[in-house]
Amino acid sequence: MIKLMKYEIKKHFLKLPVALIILLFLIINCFKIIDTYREKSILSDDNLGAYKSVYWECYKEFGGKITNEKIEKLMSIYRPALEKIADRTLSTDYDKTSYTYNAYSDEIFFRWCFVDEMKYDYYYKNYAEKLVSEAKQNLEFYQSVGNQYKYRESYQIAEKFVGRKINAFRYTEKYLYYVQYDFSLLLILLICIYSLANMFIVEKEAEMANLLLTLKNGRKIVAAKVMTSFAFTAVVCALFWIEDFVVYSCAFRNFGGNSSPLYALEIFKNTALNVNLLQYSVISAWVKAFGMMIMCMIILLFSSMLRNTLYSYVSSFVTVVSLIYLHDLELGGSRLLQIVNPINLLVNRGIFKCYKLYNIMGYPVSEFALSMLCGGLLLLLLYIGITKTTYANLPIDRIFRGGRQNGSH
Amino acid sequence: MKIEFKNISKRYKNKYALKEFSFVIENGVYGILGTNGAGKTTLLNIFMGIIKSDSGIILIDGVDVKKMGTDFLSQIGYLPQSTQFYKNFTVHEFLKYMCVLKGIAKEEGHRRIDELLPLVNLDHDRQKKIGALSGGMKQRLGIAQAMLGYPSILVLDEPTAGLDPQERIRFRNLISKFAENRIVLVATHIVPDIEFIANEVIILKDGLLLKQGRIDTITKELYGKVWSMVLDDQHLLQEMDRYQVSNMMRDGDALHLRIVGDERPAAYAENVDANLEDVFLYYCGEDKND
Repeated sequence: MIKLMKYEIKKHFLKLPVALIILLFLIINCFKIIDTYREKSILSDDNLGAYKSVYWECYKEFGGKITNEKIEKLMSIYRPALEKIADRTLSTDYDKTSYTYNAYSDEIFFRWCFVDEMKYDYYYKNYAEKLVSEAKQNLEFYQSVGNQYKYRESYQIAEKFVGRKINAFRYTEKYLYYVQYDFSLLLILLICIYSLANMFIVEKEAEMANLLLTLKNGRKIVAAKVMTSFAFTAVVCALFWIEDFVVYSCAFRNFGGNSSPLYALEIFKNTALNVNLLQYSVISAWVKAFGMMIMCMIILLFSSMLRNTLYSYVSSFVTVVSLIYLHDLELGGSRLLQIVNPINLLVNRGIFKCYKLYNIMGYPVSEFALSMLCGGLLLLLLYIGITKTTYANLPIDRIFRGGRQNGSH
Repeated sequence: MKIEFKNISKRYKNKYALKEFSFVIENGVYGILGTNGAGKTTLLNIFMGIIKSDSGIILIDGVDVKKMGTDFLSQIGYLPQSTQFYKNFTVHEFLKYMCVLKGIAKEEGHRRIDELLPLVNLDHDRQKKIGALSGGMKQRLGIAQAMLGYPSILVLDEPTAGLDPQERIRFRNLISKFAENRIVLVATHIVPDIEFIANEVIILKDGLLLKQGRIDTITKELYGKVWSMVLDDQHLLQEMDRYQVSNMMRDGDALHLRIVGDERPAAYAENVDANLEDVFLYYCGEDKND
């Protein structure tokens, strides 16, 4: 199989256009991340960039473990600024006693960069405790009325949120945008369409299909093609995700914040994952890679079904765009429809940011588990479809209905 | 080795592509002749296991091929019709790839490639991309890949289609070279390709086996049915329309005709020895009695 894969790589991927398109997209991706930083980061030149040095000085003081002293110190800076601007009559001229430019900018700076975030971190413990307490109350109630599913659901919620707290305040802005960055996924999908859409068509165009069927290892080529496509997709994903992480870290000039819990980001307030941000990045990347494998199989299915490369490109592209559109359309609608959409695994923060449970035969199953299960089934169906159509599309006959029935056929 | 085809039939919708085909093959070159759609490729595809017959069995030395599984495939070298191979592979790379697909060990594969490339006259082109090869070179590469695993059966489907005369002669000689101690099945509609190399021919028409046998035997059987005549009067040419004209040659005002048919076309027509083309025309030509 490894030998066959080696030749598949030679057939499809060791080509200058493929290398060039990957390189070009990596460059585009890099610029897009830098642009995201400029547009969104509080500390970019377009926002509060002028106070970057002030931020890092204050961060030295307020960052790390949250203590009462730090809170009091922060409030002793923030409160006076807030009081000064309360009636909005204070001069907007430069004030040399201020940390930034004047009391107005001080108030904004400290609120945006420290107060709101530290407040969220500090009170998260209370939020989690409240959730656990409510879940426990529900648990007792549902046990008393004999509702087994709701009992199990409440039990799981209590289990997930018990003991949660955010001990330390860390700069997590990089992660906030990094976990919401989807542009590289689009580029990877385009590369996959370009590289995989003719995967099976090559054999048809070279009239090799019949010959392959009569060779001892000929029919292993379908598996070899699928495995090679997976390997190629995995390599491309790894390239882009490493680039995403490194460029985000460089753009935000920050490699820290890794050990903060995922729920330190407010959008993940209700996440089921008790992992840190770095661990989440790895989990998310694996789930994205799984989703990408499904997308890759969809492209391969078109390649095995069609006899013309152009039709395969167009069909794959239209399908990918349609799935993205359906995903966006369904965001406000049925989650169940989203679960079967492989784009949901690619843009997987939707799965992780809330702890949604579904009643499957009386047992609460998380959306993540359900999505992975649906994805696995879809992958299997697509593989069967590819195997069937590859042989059925032969010009002569339908192999799966005929051919030798013995041996390895 | 002996291959026995027993009552092989294949039907597509209401039309028989092959009907109750029975034949026994032993070592030697066998030419399968027939017009397009006669059932040649269907027969080979059934034999190769690419398609399934509706009925009948194929036995190799008395064993049903269905029971042989992949062991059967390793005994066969196959060159399908109009295969283009992979344009971005070099000749050498392609043959190495075919070794992997055939399950031939690396060392043995290298040795076999080194043996075969000079035989098919591609030794100096081993690093050439397949996309840069001529049609004839591609076909020679095709027969080289078919010969990789020392097959005892070589199956060639329309191997000379589209080749120039020089390449066709070269390819014919290659087939003869590789025919030693093995069965070679060559399906073609180009009669001269097998006339000089086949030990026996099988003539198919509309899925039916019309004629089989050694070339000298079946040509002798046609004695008295091939006529040669010279036509001086051009107006009589139209009359000849009702006969199978296997050859027509103009020599000044005179037309030399070679006619295949059961009845003498003219009193002055002379009987001549039949060749394989005459046999093919006799059995596969248009029915002039319609």
